[in-house]
Amino acid sequence: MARTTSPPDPTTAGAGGSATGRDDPGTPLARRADAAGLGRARAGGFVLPGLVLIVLFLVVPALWTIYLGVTNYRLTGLAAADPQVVGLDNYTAALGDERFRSSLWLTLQFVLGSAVIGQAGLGFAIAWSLRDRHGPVRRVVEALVLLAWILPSSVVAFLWIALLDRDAGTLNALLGTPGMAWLLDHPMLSVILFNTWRGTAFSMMLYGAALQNVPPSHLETARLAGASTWQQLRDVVFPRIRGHVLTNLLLISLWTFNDFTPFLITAGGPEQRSEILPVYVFKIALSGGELGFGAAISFLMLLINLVIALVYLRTLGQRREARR
Amino acid sequence: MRRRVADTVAILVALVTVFPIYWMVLSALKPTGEILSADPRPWTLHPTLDHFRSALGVSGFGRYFLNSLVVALAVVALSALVAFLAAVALTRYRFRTRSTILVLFLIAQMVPVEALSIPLFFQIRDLGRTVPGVGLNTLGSLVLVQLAFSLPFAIWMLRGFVAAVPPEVEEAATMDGASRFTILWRILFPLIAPGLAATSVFSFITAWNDFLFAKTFIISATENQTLPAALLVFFKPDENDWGGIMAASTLMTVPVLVFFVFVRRRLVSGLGGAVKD
Repeated sequence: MARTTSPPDPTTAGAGGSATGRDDPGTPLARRADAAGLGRARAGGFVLPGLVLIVLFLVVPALWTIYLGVTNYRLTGLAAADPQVVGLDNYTAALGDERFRSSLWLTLQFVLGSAVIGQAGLGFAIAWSLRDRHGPVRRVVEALVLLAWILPSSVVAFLWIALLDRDAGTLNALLGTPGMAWLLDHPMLSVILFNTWRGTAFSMMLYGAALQNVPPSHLETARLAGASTWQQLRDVVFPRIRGHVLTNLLLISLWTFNDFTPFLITAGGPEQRSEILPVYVFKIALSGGELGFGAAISFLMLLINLVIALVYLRTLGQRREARR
Repeated sequence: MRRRVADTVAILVALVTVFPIYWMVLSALKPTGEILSADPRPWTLHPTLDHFRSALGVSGFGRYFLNSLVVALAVVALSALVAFLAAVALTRYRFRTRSTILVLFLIAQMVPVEALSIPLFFQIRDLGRTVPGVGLNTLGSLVLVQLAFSLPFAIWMLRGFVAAVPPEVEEAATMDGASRFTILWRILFPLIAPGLAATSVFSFITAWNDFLFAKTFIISATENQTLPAALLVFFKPDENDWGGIMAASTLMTVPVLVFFVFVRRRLVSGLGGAVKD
């Protein structure tokens, strides 16, 4: 072990590292393709446990969901014993259903409001204002924001119900607005604020790490040249952290789109005014027992997620093209 | 001046963020009379541990707590191991199917979990008939499914870290006569520790917080229930036992905090490293 912790010998390290090694048909190329000397069988063995678990518990149920989506399978009753294939009926029913369309619209508001604007915007603002701090201020702020992110969902749900409650709510007591029913009058606003509060930490950490890649001298030069903060952000900072921005937006959009926690606060109500798609599916499939219909809607959600991912990945790809 | 404004804003945001959590601990310590008072004060002069006592007195609280801890720790350990091996192989070895596998992992991230709980219920039920330890009503079923759900993200994250280690390090170690086992566990593993810290926090939090799977798989064996699901059953906001709810919530938060403090140092650098391009 003592030998291996010493810095790698420059001659051996250089052997396969340079571009000249690429054309050499001998060992360097072979080693490039298999640097750790794993060999095909061992490499396969390493991937296998993870692959089996993912296929078994993610891919198989996902395919099963697609199948369920074209049946009239129910949890109870006649169709539970003998489900029939009904083709695309569930899909046409969903697309024609007012409740589905309003749920989709609410979900888009939720993603745009709480993830893209709330979490990413606030997260960047905090990361930017802390970028050149290293003292206790930074540590305390980071720790406090992170706290909201790591708390258990059922706990934070209780906290927010207590905060927003009409009669005994802390917020009403503090603002002097007794009887203001936040969860009833502004259910979507409440869950959007909630999710912003909950998830900002992730964006903050990611942007914080990204901003360390921006050389302070570049910002200094821009400032001396008279660039405003906005111009500095647009021309110096953003081009350097674009990859981080897109990765962050992709992840938080997908997470928010599939987030079920608002159910614990508003249960989708009142009158389905905060019924985002995950809550809708849960109610249809697990509470209502309409497994086939619920599965069809889940598949539509998956398609929308794919579209979101493709848009981000395309934008990321364009950047790579442009750089070349 | 500008700096002071930035500091003030950041501290304000932090205070607003931490307020509900402060309120939780405060309510857990307040006597019941003060919680229900029409004029809530943001401090208490008579802190009491009564609510903690009553929360711990709920039958099985300790048991549920332990169940949650066992599941979460098992998921973290197994996930780190499985994801590490997969990440090494997928980074260092060029499979012909490599990009297919990676895209598969990315898509797996996008499936709404609520939808999968239905087929998973049937799968776990059937699996339990062949392998007794992982059927319905067992903690094993929770470990298995949580593990599978933690893997795509963990593998994606760790891949970035393995890729950041120059292959020359391993080549040099090979030339020095280190065995493959040594290379993996004594060279690569420590080098990607920040990445493991970041992914562990993720898998710990999701496993510790999960109530959907616990609610779906643990139907009749209440002794195998986990804390989040049990919490929702035993405490209901409309019963107005806010002291008890907040004390139980505080207790439930403690392991997450302990785990988090443990890995915090490495977490921030970990997240940064994962998306370097």
